[in-house]
Amino acid sequence: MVGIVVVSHSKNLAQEIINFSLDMAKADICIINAGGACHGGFGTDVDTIVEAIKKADDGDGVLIFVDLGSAVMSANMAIEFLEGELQKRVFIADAPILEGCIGGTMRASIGGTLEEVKTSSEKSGKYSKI
Amino acid sequence: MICKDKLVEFLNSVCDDIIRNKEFLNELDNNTSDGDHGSNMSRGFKEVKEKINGIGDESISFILKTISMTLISSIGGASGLLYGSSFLKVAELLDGREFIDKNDIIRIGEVVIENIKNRGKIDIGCKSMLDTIVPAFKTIELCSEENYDSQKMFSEVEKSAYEGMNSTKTMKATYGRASFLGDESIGYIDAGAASSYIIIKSIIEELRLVENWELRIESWQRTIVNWRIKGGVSYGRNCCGIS
Repeated sequence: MVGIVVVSHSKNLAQEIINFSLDMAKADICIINAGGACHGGFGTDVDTIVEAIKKADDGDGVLIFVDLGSAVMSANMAIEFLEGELQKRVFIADAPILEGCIGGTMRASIGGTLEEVKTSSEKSGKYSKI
Repeated sequence: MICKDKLVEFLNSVCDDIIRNKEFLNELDNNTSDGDHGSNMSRGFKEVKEKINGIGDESISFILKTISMTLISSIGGASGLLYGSSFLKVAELLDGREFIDKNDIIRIGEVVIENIKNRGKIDIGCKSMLDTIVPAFKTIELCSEENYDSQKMFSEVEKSAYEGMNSTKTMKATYGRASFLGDESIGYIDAGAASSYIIIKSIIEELRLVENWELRIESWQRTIVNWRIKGGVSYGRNCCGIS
């Protein structure tokens, strides 16, 4: 099953996004919290993201959700630090962190492939709110 | 020519200067962001200082890689990633080298600037560290082409870096959290541009001392030759200033 990693500048925020997403999921999936800085405050940390990706992967790949700024940079760098085979099946979703994670989690929970989970999550970010 | 011992000395000075300017950098950052650039940089460079003083026997490339990983994992924001990844690029460039010489400086500038542009998706004029770094390295290129002597080049490079940093005051931020402020981000020096200036200035100060040291040795050598020609222990000692 596709695994998910949530990279927010806030570890608490990442956890609530995960909690909300799992509430909508049709089955248990692996979502790992990689939020927060190494010093415990707001920020992101490359090592944390690398470890989260390794935990989230069971061979079907991993999709990463990011909030803004350095979260994107950190996630990109984390992917660069992965070994060859794993690196090929990890992507960052071009989606808002909450809506994307919910959409992606729901799709992953019904057995979606990495490509399907990515498409679902990125589609969910394009809905108009007014 | 800078060997690894000299490099560690340089880097210690850079660390000290960043740490010393923690509050100044925080104040600048507070104008357009969350006010923690100084704290983050200070934390990162304190850890760098601890790490590099235990690895003096390792290669130049290893030392730079260690700095890279330390900054990436301890600064915790875009700056750590941009500075850290730049050190990694320089480490790769200097792999296997026993020293850094003048001919390496331009290539170092090229890889650092390319890295920051690609990774940060920024360019000069975006109100960032590049606005300090690009003018500094352009000046190095120009001075090399014009065959400026070292001391004149150091002055020109520092001036370019300073002016580059100051130019960010009139820029509108177009990347990072400051970009959310729009026109309200104008009127303040970018904290990343300032920390880059501090690093460049620190390195220039160290290079000035290296150059002076070489000049001093050259002067002593000339004196020793004169002493041998003229003869006499007392003459030699007086000229060299050796008691």
